[in-house]
Amino acid sequence: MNKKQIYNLNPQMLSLEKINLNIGPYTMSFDFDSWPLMESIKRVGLINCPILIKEDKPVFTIIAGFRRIQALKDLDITSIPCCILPGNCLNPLDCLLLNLYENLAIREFNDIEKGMILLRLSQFFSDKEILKDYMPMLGLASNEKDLELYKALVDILEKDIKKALVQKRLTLQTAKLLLKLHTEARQAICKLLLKLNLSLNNQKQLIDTLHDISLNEDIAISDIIDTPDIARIYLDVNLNVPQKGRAVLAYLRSRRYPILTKAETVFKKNIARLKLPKGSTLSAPQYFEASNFRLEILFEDGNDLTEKLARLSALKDLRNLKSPIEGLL
Amino acid sequence: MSKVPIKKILLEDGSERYPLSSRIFNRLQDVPVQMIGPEKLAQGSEKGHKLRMGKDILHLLAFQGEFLKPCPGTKEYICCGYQILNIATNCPLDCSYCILQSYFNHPNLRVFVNLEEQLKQALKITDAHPEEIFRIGTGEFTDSLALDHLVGWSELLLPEFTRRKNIMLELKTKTNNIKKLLDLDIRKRIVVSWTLNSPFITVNEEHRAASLEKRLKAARRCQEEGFVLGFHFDPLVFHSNWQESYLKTVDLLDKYIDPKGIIWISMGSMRFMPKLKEIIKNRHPRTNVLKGEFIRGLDGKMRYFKPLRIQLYTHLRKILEEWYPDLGLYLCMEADDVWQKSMGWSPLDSSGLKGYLDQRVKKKIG
Repeated sequence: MNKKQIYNLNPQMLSLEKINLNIGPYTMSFDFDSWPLMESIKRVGLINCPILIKEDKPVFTIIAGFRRIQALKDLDITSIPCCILPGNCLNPLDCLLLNLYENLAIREFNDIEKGMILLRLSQFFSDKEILKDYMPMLGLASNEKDLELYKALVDILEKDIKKALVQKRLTLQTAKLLLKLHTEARQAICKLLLKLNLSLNNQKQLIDTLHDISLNEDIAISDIIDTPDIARIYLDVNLNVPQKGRAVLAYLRSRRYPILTKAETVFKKNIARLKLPKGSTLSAPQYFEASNFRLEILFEDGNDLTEKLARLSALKDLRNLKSPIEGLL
Repeated sequence: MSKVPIKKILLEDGSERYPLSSRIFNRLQDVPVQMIGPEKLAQGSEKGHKLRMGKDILHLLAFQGEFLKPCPGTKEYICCGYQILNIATNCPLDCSYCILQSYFNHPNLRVFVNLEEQLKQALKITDAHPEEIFRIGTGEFTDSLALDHLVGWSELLLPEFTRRKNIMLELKTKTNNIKKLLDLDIRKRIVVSWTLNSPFITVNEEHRAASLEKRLKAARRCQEEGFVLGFHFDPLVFHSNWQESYLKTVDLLDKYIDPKGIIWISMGSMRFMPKLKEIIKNRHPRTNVLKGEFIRGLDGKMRYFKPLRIQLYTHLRKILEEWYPDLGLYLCMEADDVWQKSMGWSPLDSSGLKGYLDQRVKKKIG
């Protein structure tokens, strides 16, 4: 790269019509808010001119300054000052690196932008070079799985899901799970997740459960989500968002584990019928897999404990307590 | 079973000095051999290789670990006290549910060519405890017979085991690759076992394995030739019409096998470490084995919710006992209450089950 050619450039006024306003091949911005930049330009004007290159195309290609040009466009400015490089001045890799280093110095990239950068770099470098030199630069661990993941986020995810990820309404872990699904299922799940505002663990649980139901019942995930039972939950005005989330998860769990849910319901009913002394709880082993139940008694002193034990012993139905799995099938 | 063609032999540095390597080379003279040193091993396998698992690559190496060790059962469930003779890992068959898909970081059919040398050490352990019965099998980390025509395990192992009164060697397979076995004149203290399933699971999930009918024809041939037989219904899997489907398998058993010559039949239900689920989904997207109410068991493995397991075992136990009442039925890695409810009795703990199976050895083998 001839650096002098960049230092010595004089800005020229260029009509927006003559600029390719699409992202790429050198720019790497995704889902940004141009408002602060617009405010800055309104107050103090454009401080640094965008850098463009004249390639073998009818319009100029942006090397650096994509966000500035968008902000100027949003301000209805139709002619803007730009530094224009001659076509033979920089090769495509130099253009890409110019943008990358300029952005690295002034801002952090979001996950989609990191993916865009890695995808573009992979046209010029081997995976080994990217892992060694560029992933640490982007704040990523140098491992192949992450490289594939970030590229897939850009390649596979739909725009609305990318936006949700960038806006932190979806976690990277969830996006990773969504990558494994078909488009239709992915979009249906994303829509549901955004309505329910679930925690990371619950997002994962929801996706896993939907996937299992789909497998068990041989039904599309989007059809499960479109079921009236789920619609009824998120249209219920008496429930707040966390309650809706819990209700949807409970509904899906009961559909995923019908027999286990039945056993849990029977057990709860049996325990309620016992009328245990206050401060006493009887719990079943997880999934009824182990054979022992657990009794907890809260007591103030020895007298209190003796009384509660006596009341427990006097419960006539206690002797009939047994695992609900018997006779379940 | 169609014998899987071996496309390449990988030979680890130093492994060429073992006679077993030479014998394998002689049987595979047209197959290219690639020497591999520690550097190449450290590099791992190329992309996509893991998905194929190198089922057409024979990897010859000297195993540095213990050759004979207890089956990695679980203390949370009742186990049978089995001993594993570790002759190889991985298998040319490609069953969708196979636990080996997640057990090993290294793909390829890994055959341990220092077996002869190490076998002597392993047998010192059994010889030191003449009062104890050792039920030993080679079919836990590989199929006992799938590669027998290439490796010659039968001719290597059988003479050593047959003359020891405190040992029973079980060769467990899903193939009909019994020629080498039958060519030998050794029957005593050897059990040949077949893993069975419903016709539906056999066809849809046990890729590259012999058909049920072929397995049972091979079993009959072994029985006619004087071998004691064992069978393993593992993993039992729920699927549409599973009751009728398992009944068909028992009908086939009845057609081909004399039940008096059976030492035991085990039953185990589908179970897997959680991380295997993704591997199965990737390698076998059309599988049925992940369907059903799987919960996390006490050993961390996913298994059917307890009443479902009881339902599976009860059904199979009934139809097997209707066929013949003295089959040495037992459950693999199950809880005491599951035993009680499905089998009508329980060995109570692992030593109880070991005792029961040792008695079967005494009764059927002596």
